[in-house]
Amino acid sequence: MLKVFLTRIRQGYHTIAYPEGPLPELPPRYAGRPLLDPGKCLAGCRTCVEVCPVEALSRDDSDALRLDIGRCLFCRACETSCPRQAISFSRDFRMAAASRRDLVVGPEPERLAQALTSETRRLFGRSLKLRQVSAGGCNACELDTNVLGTIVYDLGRFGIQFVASPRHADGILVTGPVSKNMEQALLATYEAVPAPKIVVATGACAIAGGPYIDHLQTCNGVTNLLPVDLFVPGCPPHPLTILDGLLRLLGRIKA
Amino acid sequence: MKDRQTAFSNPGCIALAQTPAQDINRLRRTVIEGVKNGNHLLALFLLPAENNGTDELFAVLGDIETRRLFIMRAPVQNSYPSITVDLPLAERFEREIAEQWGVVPTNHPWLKPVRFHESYRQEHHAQPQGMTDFLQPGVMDFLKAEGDEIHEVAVGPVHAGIIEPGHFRFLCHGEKILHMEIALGYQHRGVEQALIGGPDKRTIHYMETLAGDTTIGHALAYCQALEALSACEVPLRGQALRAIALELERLANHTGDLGAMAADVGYSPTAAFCGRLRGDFLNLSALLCGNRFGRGLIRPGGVAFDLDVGLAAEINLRLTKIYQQVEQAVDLLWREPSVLARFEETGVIDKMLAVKLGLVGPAARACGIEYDVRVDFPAGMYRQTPIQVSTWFTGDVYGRAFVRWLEIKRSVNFICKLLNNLPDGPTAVDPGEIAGGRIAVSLVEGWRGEICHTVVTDERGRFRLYKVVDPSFHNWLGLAMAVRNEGIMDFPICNKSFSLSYCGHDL
Repeated sequence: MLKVFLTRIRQGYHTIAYPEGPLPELPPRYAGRPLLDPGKCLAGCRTCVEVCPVEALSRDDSDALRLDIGRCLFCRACETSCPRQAISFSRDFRMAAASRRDLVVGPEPERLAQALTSETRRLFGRSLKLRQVSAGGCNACELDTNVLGTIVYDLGRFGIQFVASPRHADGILVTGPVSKNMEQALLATYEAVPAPKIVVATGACAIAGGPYIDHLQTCNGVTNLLPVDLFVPGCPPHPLTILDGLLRLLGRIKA
Repeated sequence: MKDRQTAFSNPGCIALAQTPAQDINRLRRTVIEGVKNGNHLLALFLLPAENNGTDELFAVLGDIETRRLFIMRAPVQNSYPSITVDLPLAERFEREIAEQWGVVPTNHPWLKPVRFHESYRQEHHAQPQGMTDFLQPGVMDFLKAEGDEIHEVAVGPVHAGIIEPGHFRFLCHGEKILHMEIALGYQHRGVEQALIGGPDKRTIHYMETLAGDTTIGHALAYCQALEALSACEVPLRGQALRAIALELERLANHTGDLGAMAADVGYSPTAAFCGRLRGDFLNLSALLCGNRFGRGLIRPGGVAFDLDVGLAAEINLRLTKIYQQVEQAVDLLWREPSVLARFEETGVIDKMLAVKLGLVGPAARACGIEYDVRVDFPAGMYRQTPIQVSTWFTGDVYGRAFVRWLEIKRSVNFICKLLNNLPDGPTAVDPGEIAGGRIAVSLVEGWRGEICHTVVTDERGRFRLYKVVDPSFHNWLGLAMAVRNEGIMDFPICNKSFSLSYCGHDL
């Protein structure tokens, strides 16, 4: 027993201060929210649009460049291929949004996720129980969602908890493109959650299908199947991106 | 032996036309005898016929003594005599062939669906007539038993924790598990089919997401296969960085598993410490390339990011510190009698059974099988900087935990050795053109065990077939056997000690 206490002291404290404290530092090579500088674009250039593996980039008739971070795998192929450095990836992990449209980075100002209505906030703001449904991805989103339970993020301190049964839950957090073989199980789990309930789509797969977009064996994410209240982009999203999104949804972070 | 004249080392390729073609009975005999003499069955698959040709059954074998790989093929019509009858480890391969192409291995003991998808060829399926009309995931024949106190427990596909979907059916007598059956396929997303016609701009992303926790392992196996096809030599610095990334992946996952095993027996100190330390290892991978899982690092021809002196020193420093903390955290496990009581003699697989089932990775090494791709079929940096194989002899949960701990120690040493002697020069070269009409095999020892990628190219160098064998494909049956006669409360700890992939299996 003494050894356990000694080890506990040696291991030290590791819980991050976010959101009260300073923003945690991310590695220099981390690819967060993309920054577009369309002023640098060459007329008619479509290099970045063509190298993107999942058609996240588009350039319309007015020549405006748009990047859909709901589809983006953050592979940086666009950044590397651009002859004019018009695209770069910042180290900002705050990317979750409340509507699918807000995930499209373009000339318009960014809109981060906003809090639920005051009624739902009254219900969920202090205690949010989520059932996680893994629906056909690669397990990386699940792993980094699990990380929220470690002492580093300590999700419990915000009153958020992952529970074992949908009957105990206020909503579901979905990962994966929703394989056809998981479609029924996902819908049944959603049905089992008592109303009012929320849906969180985590990762490029759950939002739009990820690398498996348009495969016959998948449903291109949960967006087509259920009403989504929070979109958390990334492939996979950094645990901080998920945490930030959940806290914004509950009105715990406002700025 | 004549069949082995066209053998090659890992990774390697030969012309498809040069692959020894033989009669199915002879192929069957060679595979069965080969495996009985210690060869490894790395892959068994069907290459569908092209323009009025015949389907061909391919077997890829590895001979540990000569460190060579060899391929055989035999034409098959709608059926062939099952190999599983004599070689249980071929069970899943044959079920897969039947499900995909409707080619039936006759006398196979139980042709259940593997991934619950329709046959790739219409009107050509192996399931009983009418079965495919309502092919529902998890709907199959399960083993039955009857009697007093016999009952079934069904779990999944949505589990209680944050893990992937799968369906387990326990056949119990009171609290004792008589047998557990596993139905997977819920994660099936059609990756192997989507790879045909490649490589294209999405191929590397499929590889990095075959199994998210094995991003480096699978991306590396793919790149090695491609480099074998284009006769490309990866510069030494690139090889070293690849090996560092692969070992970091092993460290993160093994540490996470030890923590999760502690959690499953209710020992929270190690569970809490290791959960955090796993993340610290992931953050080291993120220092290399920005992504905690190593996405974007491994690319055909080498690696996409270099390491300067400062960064190498930083990783070295952090690694030493994390390792010390892992050592403290894991040491608590081996000292705690209540943990050892749950770990020891739980979920035992003896060596004979492990060989019969064809187990790979830590699960096999925990039974005393000295097999590790990094040593037996070394590629890249492992040819120059050897690593020791970690084995134990008990074959129980304790053994699988202890082998992980041994591997953690050796991986840390290996990474430090490489970081202190990083070769100079470029990190990548242009991989070049892919040769057409060839078959390539690439092996990597991922943290779960042997990963095997087999590629067949058409005349233009496009993928005609891409076969991925994740270590989980070999090991799921091992878990089913390990829990026999155990209490049902010990299932979670047995499951975690195998730590298998659902998505890597389902593809």
